[in-house]
Amino acid sequence: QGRPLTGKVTDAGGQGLPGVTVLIKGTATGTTTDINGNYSLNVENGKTLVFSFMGFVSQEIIYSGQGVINITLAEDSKLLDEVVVVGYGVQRKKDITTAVAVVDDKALKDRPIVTVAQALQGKAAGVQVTQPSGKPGSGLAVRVRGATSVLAGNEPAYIVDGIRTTDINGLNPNDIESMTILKDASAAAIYGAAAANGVVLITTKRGSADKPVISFNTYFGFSTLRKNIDVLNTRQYRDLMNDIGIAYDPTWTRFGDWTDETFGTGYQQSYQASFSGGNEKSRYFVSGGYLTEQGMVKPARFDRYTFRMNLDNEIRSWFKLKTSLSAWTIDSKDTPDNASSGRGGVIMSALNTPPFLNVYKQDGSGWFDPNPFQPSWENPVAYMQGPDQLTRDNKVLGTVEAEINLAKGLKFRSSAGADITSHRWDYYLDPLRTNYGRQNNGIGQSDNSNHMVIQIENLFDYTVKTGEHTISALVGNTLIKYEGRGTYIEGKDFPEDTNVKDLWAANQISTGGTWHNANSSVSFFGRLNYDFGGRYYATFSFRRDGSSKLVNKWRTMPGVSAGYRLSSAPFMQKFTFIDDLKIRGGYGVTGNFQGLSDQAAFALWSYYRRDPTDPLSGPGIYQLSYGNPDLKWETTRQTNLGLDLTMFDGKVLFTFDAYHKQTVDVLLNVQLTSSLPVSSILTNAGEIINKGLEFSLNTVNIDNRELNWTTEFNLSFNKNEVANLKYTPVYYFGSIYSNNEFASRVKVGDPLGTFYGYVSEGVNPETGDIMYKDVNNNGIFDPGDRTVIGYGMPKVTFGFTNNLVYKDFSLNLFFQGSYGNDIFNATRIDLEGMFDSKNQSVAVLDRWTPENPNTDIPRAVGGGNVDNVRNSTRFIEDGSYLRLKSATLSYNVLKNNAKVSFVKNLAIYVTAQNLFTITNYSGFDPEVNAYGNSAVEVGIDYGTYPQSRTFVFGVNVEF
Amino acid sequence: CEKFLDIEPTGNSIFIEERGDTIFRTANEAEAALSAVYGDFQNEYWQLDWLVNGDAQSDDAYAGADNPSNFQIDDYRIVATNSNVSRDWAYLYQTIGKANLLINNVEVTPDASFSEQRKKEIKGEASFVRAVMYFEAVQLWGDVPLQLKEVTSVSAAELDEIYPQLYPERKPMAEVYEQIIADLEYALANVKTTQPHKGFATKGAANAYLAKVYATIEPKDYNKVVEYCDAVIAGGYSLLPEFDMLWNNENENSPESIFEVNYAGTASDANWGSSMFRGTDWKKFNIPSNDLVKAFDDENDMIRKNASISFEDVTGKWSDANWPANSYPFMNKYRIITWPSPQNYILVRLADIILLKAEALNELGDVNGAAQLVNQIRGRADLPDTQASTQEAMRLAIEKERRLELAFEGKRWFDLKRTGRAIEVINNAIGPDGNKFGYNLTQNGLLWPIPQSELDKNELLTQNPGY
Repeated sequence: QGRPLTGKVTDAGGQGLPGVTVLIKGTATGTTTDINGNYSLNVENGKTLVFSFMGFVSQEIIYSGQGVINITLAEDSKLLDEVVVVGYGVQRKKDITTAVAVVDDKALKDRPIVTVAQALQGKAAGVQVTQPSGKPGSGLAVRVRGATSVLAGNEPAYIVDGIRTTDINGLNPNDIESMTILKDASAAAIYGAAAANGVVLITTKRGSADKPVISFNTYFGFSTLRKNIDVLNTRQYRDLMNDIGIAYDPTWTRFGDWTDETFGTGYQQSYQASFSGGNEKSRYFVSGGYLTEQGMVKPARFDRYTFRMNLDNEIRSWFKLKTSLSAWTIDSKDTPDNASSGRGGVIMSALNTPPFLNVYKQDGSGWFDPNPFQPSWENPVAYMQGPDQLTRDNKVLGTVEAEINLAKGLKFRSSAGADITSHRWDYYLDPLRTNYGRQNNGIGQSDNSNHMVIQIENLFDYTVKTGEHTISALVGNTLIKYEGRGTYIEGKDFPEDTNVKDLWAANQISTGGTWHNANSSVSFFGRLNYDFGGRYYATFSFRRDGSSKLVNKWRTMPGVSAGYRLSSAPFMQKFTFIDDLKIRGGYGVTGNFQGLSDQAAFALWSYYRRDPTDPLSGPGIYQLSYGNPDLKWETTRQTNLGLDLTMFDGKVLFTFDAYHKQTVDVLLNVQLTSSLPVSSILTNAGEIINKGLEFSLNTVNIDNRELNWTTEFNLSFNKNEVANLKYTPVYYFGSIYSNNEFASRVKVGDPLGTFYGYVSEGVNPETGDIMYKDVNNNGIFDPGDRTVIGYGMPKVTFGFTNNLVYKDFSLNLFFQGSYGNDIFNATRIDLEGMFDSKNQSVAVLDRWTPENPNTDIPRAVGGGNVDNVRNSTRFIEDGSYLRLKSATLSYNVLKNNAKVSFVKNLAIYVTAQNLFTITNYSGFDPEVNAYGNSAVEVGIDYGTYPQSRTFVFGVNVEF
Repeated sequence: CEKFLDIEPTGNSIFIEERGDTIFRTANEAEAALSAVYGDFQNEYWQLDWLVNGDAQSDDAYAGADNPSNFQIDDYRIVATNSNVSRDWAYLYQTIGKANLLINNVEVTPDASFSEQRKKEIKGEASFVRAVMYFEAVQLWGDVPLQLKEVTSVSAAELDEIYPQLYPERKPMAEVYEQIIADLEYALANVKTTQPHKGFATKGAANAYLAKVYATIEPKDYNKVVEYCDAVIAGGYSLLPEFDMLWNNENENSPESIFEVNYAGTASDANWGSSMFRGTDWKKFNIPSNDLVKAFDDENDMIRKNASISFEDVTGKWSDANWPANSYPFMNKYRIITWPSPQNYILVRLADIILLKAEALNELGDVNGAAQLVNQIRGRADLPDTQASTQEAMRLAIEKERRLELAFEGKRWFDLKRTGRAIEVINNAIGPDGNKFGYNLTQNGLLWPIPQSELDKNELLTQNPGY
């Protein structure tokens, strides 16, 4: 039975390690060390002993008959030291007891990313990112564990190097070191009223005390339309007009393809340089960049100039100064979309404009060729090139933080930060070329605003370790003050010279004004972390926030979480393939008042301009709003249970989380009867519940000298439900222009983003009209026949990344998609309605006629009759998709090559974005929303600027 | 830190600082609020929709333009989700709410310089406007909620008290008309006889609306109609000598005009509505119907036809199944379509009241008295005297006279409804080929649906039959 063996296992510091597994290799026999690290067992000669403990490098020893074997285990730095940025500090990854997801610079490096939010897409379970349109610079919708709010915003809070900001569109992805997403409330509660939608902590790169590094990245790319929609040619169009009964001039025989005129090739270019370095006392990171993205549909473009300077100085041994400063300018031009062809929508106009028209009138007048059926319906080129407009956004975002070591383990940190932005939009429509321009003899608008947020923060941080007890505590406060000012002006009747675009030259000023807004908040927060021997964890946090926006200003939000390292339990020791297993749970309360206007609590008078009285007595006045002294912020209570599992020497990492998120006091504009002068009141009147499961699995599949293959897979299920609505039982959203009906409904029992409408029972073979189901069985067609017809929110979203490295080549394949969501394809209303002179898609070639009675396309009805294109199941399509979002192949040309010593690294790569998409959706693209990042109008397609397919070639070089 | 969190708005005044405060602190504030009540006559209802409802909804005009809601109204295919129906409801009640604020609060304004007489005048003017709005609403929807109080603050403490106001029920038409009459009578007793222009409530305007109300309610009270028409006629109004003088924009606020929405033609005080009906830049609203043009032609009434309709060549601009592009009709009564347009709209004028009196006299059996009045109107249009000699024939003669005299003044639909003739007349209207146009108006179509959006938020509301 072997000989008795005893010994002690210690760490590098000589401390006994409890719970270390001591196993005879190839058997199930073994033991674990006691509280002091001692063990004893019987071993036969020649057997191999394996000492393993989570967070330490395992050791094997061949037993040769000794009585005592003492072992010192080395810490596995890879596992142990990996730290994660959390609220107001960092934590070792293995100690975390809340649901956080980390997206590091690897995810950003592998492909050309324009905005930071793109980097989050498909990379973290429970974080759903959708790009509602393919327009350059268009915002993304980021949802952490579903939507909790109707009005107050659903975007997470972004904290960049400690300062809260609302806009990260200008942040240079190349500057980002890591992003931590605090998903559950126990993690986010320390951010209180900012945190109901999760918190994204963005940490930018800083210098290190190594050799200075110069790096330069550039890429060039082009983008094209992924998929077209075919419309009628001139002959087919003429036949349709005859069927409708619209007089058609036989000389209109020209054929022009408006989609060719509209969808061109877009370009991207990016130049980024950074310099970093320093010594023990002071370090720097400086970067600058220029990026331009020109859309495939003109004139959309996005030009960004960025600058960053991050400095770290150790002025005294006890005093450190940390400066983070960034500035950017974004110039952008818009291509109007999500609108009908009669109301300026370029995409709809590309599809709906009669095919016989020219771009310009052929008489030298300089007019865009007027639509003979309705001259205000301009062709797409007129909408694209008619107006001259530019938006310029500037931002300076910076903090200076002082860190003072007061005593051993006790630090004081104080920071002052500012987020200063300016916005300007200028618009000019010349008096000649377009119908609208001629009507107004030129029209100009300008909008100018400045915003400043000042943030002052102080906190104490104390850590003490005695024996196996580690306690760290943190208390602090934050003051935030926002102030914004703006001006707007509109004028018409311009000089003939179309080079003169400034509004001072407008003969008539139609309107003008200024505005001023301010709000402030005060917060106190604290947190206590307790760690017992790396096995038991508990965290308590609280935040007390006060806001100037409310009458009841103050609210306290607690958070609590606990974790247990299950892998340290004795019974787990036989599962030797498990490196680490931790179970954790938490509960927390967070708030949301993003959507509250600064004056939301007040009853106000408003003004209107009237003819001056004699003597002057000011504008006319009327009641604007009801006061609401009871107004509160939205409160989200979230429970989270999760586990983190590491197996096979770190080759398999699995994380699972389940959550229940209850948002009460949801802010709603309660619809009072319109028989009052103010027909709505902002109040707390709803409850929304999100429930979900999240899985993420990261594996190292092959890892040898030649080939390394890793995959990251994440899968999220979220179920959203409106649990309660007070006062108003139902709200409608998403008015569709052509039929004037609402596409979405908010009602108790349904998720947000529910489609509402009639049930189409196909075309009546006798009349050629759509038959709608008499849902309420009252014998007539009426609005009571509307019912739930689809769901815009997906049941499941997923992301799947493969990294293959073979010698100097590497391949990154990133798949992403959603399942179980519907799309309301309102574009088809204007493409298959046949109610007026709009050109239609080729689907209408199969329209009902007495000769073609059995079809699913109704008759050409004309006369503006939209009865066949009511919001109905006819336009609901499955929006599930799987797409290869990005595929990158890169090659390391030089890597620490001694022959070319001045170049440290040189890599070239090619990336294809949206290379393929698997979907049944018939529109341009299934990743779409005409209502941008709205939470209640989801998955509506109405002439939305589609996603493009992009190819990018890039070079990264380091000196 | 509490101070740091105290931020008051700088762009808007606070409505009531504390519970119990008066709404208006000074006379000037009450005057400015009255100004906003009148200002509502420049909202979308009174720039555009009143003419859609009165004329496109009749046999006088087609919807035109490209709006599905208007097509539904033109074709009597209205669905309760129609956006015009819901916005018109909201517009009318918004004004009622603004008027309520003055009616209920102006008298307690704590301003020593604010005379009791002026307070009563303001209350009277607001009562007049409230009556006008309710009169529109009751004709469109039948039974409607009677909102007579304002809501200043919605808090949990006050909820029980204000809940019935937030979610009111419909009141029978008779009760609504009672309120309209009471408001007009209060106005008649308290407002001025003359005002700086015809855009304000006067005794004449109150008399004119009382006459209209008594000609509309069931049962009609023709003696009252005659009484109030006579009061108007004796009130210093007179017909302009030439019909076109009403529309050539050289006689704003003329002696014939009783109530007229005034526009100054400045950017903040302009009529955009007129350019919705005229101009060749895009296909306009309210395209005159074949049936109306035929009615003018049958009567050989060229003076009023030319004043009411102008034909333009829109070849190459747009096409239309109802009219050839080279001779395409537009409403011609509102002619200033430049921006900012100072085009006024006349809501009530003397000719309307004279014909209303003729109608009342005829119904009371005085066919000759009616004929005299009809001939007075026809004479100005250089038309021979009416041939109608029986009560029956005179009814039709007055109906035709009102149609030709008041075309595109938002009257036709309400006249046909009032006289119970709408279904018969409209379903027999002719189209471009001289045959029936094919309208299918039913009894249920005479009232609009209560907006679905209102039904959805207020379970006390009931829907009209057929919707």
